[in-house]
Amino acid sequence: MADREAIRPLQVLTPGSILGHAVRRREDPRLITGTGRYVDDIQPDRCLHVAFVRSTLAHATIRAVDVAAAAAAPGVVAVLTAADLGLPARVGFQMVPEVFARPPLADGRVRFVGEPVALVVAESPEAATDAAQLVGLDLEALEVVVDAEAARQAGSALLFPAHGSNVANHFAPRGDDDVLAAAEVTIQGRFVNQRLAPVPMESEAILVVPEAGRLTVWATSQTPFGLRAEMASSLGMADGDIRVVVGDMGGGFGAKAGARPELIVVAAAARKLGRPVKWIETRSENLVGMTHGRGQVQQVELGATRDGHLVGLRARVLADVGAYPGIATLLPFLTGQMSAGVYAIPAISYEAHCVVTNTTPLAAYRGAGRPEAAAMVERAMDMLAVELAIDPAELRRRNLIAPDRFPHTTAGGATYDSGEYERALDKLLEISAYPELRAEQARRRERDDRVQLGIGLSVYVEVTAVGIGPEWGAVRIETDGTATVRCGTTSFGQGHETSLAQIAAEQLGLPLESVLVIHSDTDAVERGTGTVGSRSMQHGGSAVHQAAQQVRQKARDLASHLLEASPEDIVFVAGTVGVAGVPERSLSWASLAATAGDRENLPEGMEPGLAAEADFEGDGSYPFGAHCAVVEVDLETGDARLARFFAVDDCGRIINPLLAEGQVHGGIAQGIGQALLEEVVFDDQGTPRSASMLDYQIPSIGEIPEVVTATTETPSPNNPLGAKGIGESGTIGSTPAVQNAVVDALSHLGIRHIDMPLTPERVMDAIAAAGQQGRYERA
Amino acid sequence: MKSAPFEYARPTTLTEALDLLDRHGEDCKPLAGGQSLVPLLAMRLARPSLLVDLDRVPELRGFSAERVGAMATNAQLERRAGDLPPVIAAALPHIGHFQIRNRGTVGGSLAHLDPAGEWPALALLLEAELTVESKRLGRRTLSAGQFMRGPMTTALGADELLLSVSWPRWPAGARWAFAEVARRPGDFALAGAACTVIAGRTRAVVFAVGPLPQLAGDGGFEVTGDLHASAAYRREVGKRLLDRVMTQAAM
Amino acid sequence: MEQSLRVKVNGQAVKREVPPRLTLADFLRDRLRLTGTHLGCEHGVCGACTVLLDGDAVRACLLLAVQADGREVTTVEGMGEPGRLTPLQRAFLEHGAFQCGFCTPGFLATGEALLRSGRRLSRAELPDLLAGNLCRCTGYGPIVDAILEAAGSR
Repeated sequence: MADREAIRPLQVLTPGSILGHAVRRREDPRLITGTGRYVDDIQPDRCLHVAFVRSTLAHATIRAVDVAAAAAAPGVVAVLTAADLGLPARVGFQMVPEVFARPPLADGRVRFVGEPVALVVAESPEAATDAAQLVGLDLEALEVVVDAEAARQAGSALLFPAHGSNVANHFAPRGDDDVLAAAEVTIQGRFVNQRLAPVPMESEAILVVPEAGRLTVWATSQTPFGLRAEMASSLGMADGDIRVVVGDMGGGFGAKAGARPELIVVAAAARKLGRPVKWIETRSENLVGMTHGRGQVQQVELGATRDGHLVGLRARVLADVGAYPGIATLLPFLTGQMSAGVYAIPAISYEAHCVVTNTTPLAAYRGAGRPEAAAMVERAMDMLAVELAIDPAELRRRNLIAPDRFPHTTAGGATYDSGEYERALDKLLEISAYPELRAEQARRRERDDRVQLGIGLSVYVEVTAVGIGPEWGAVRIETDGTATVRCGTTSFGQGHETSLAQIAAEQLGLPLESVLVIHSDTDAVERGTGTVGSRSMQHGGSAVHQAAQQVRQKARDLASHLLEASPEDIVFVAGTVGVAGVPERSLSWASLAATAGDRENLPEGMEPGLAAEADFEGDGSYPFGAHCAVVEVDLETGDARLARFFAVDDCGRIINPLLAEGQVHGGIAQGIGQALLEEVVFDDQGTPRSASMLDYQIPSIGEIPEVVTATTETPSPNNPLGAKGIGESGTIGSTPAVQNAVVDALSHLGIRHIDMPLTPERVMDAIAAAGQQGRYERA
Repeated sequence: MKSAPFEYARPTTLTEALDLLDRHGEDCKPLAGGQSLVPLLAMRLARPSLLVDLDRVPELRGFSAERVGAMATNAQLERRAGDLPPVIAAALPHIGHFQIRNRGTVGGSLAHLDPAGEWPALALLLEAELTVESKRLGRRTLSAGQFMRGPMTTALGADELLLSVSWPRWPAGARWAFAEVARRPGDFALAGAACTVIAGRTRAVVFAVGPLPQLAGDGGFEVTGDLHASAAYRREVGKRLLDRVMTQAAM
Repeated sequence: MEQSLRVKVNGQAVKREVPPRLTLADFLRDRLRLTGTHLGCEHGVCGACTVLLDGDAVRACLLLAVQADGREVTTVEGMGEPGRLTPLQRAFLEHGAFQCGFCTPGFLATGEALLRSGRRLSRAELPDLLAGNLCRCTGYGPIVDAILEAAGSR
């Protein structure tokens, strides 16, 4: 029962704590008045502009690149190819074999449409774009491999002949494969978790300013330190010779982590030309050049007893990793780890293959491997519920991992830290008035309405901040009595300037206005890992918390020495440090900081200064929740529209409810996008067909219903804040809820599954295939 | 995305505009609201050497219940929707977003002739006449059927301008219906249909399903597919929407 | 050949020579350094570059700068400043109606146009009116709440 005690919901650490309050964001005033600083807002004198020349074929050898006409065009300063820059090829992720290394500009061979081959550097963006059209690419077409299943077949054309296969890596099943032997009922499915484009509202952007042997890099990066390291090693520079600064940033969603080859190329060009060089990615480039996400085909079998107790899961996953393997080769591992979902599944057999194809490379995208797991399990649970004729809420309830079984190691191999899944499900059923929804659905079926109602549930768990490394945080009291917080995370809409300030202010008893947060500048921050995998609060926040705690401790010791009081009697009140019950015996933070600067004032053994730093590394945490989507499906047109959406999310201890709720709402919208709208499409020659925002459709307000949210708080024992990540939960939970809802609306017609996105046509096809509405026949 | 360079002229009379078109022919492109043309320029799918901005040509402005100048914007019509045939009023909110309608013109939409556009469908439905003029051929009037040649293709010569579109007076007691399926508000329709019942005569068109808007008749209609919906989907849903609008208009 | 352009921007008369291909968005950002207007797609879909032209919300990426000749343009810089925010900006702050902030100036222009139009705004019709501005962060709910609140306060 010790564990139960540990995960008891905490209230506040300090009376009057600023933690847990919906504090307004400190970022807001500049962003609301148009005075933020995104990369393209920085316009240095003598700045040059880049246009990339990209491959028009998906697979080809490069016979020649003719730059003569472009180089002679007005305003052009340089046209550069791989040979001009001589940059080393790099693998996209540590675990990827060297054979898959990618040259930052294509060298000898291109492997996807949109792969950069050359760049034009000119005095204006217009001149660069004009000249880029004059570069002659002489390409000799090779056989193209677009489909992942075809790529895996023996005899398929190979992207990397030296590797001998298109399979980049393989996660073999562990242990006994006979996981369904005891099943009385088994359902089978083939689910496509389609390829998505991240589409941050601000595309990739970089400005590199060379000065006195150093490079200052203004970038849209989730990982400024990672970008600096990769840039430095590619350019043969020391880390310290590059300063990466991320100002305001228009979204990232995972795709702005690491170092895109284009970024290295732009830095090399700036260094070579000795002038500031800027590249602002166009939206069409963004849709084919920025990494994509998801892209799995899942073969699933889920078995249970007749009374609805799960027996085992077998899953075979094929992951498309695109033309150059990167972190996408790791993500199916996470899918496997999370394949049990929130359920006590006794046995799981999981296997995944990652294959290369002549398409845009894939990488992390909001959720990154976990949405694929949640979609797989939750879809299968709904199919099983229909098969067993058990209400999907009830089937889920029978199989949830009970709260007294945490920490809990699943058959998928993950060790969940804490969870109260049934509480979340109960709350969801309550706020959604679930029985009434079912009654309305029955009425519409009874009346044979043209517009049917579907109700979709998903109870999800995901993993955040796992296996990524430590994060650095520091707190210093300035002599004016304010505190400066530094942290290695990066904010691109999350509001770290506010939430990290809250964490420090809470420890120090300082008003929020007195805490300044500095992040995303490699000259101003000691080190950092960055913002990926929903880790910033639990790792960055915990580092800041620990540093602030140390400062608090030192301040207590110093005040006790100066005020000649016992340390236990020192209190932190209203921005002062003083003796409990004796208001006149107190010191301001300013005077304390000034005093601390002089060794003479300090007690024996105390170092000068009122500052501390910490590297926090903790195990990951497992946020969870339950979502319910209510859709209306027009049986005549196949149009599926969300009517309502309910979400209960648990991200452990909440630092700032305003920010946490914002993450939930935004995540849900993105998850709805996957379910209903979004899909990256290539033709059979690998030419992108979704390279504009008319053709790649992200949700507008028209597709997002009013979202009713609620929270539960089950703290994580794995960090001092008790926090879990909230950045990706909404996306992970919502997608299967919506997909399940659409299928549920049609289940009385015998329909059991429809792949995403649930376009009107997909829905109509399913209705036709079910033998309904017989007039509709495919040509 | 930056356009290729071009020259720009902004005539202030119709004669001046027609002179420019006459002189530059195929190399020039009239610019109405620009809501379809400017994206094509940005993507370098259109590369005229001269744009003739029609914004300040007074002869192209203005509208009444039965005649609309080519440069009337959809937003202007929307504000006076009560004066227009109600089927037009019903279709207007489906034309892009309101920011697009603030700039997008009736003439621009007809001359661009996207098969998913609402205006071509309305022109066909309402038996509209389109008045066009060039220095070479003078002024002539075309029926909607004569004007529309194919997807993105009209009977307009390179030197010719669409001046206005007109339709018969909307009689009291006439009935109508309009329906379309689109993924998001303002998106191009996946399929659409509209119907009028005037003096007992039913006329219906289906649009966004094939190369052009088409009159409903016995012979079915031509369909084409694209990324967003196949020809088969469009045939079936076009048929159902036609049924739907004809039933609604008959009631 | 460059064209001469006279335009009033945020109340100030401006005269410049510009190439015809320059969009209004690029003119505002690069020539006037009014970088509050953001470019999200440059093909008229995302709405991030929405500004007011003679009071009407329009896409600045779908308008050539020369087309604004003789007209009046209002950008986010002309709406309010820290300490003197418009009611709409205050409502956006109050409701957390933005996260990364990139789409926000476009939403403000759209919202201002709707508020100034004098039409009654209801929760039911806002989706059709706001669908021309895309946001990838907020899920839209807080934006609707903010605009409704600002509408109610007038």
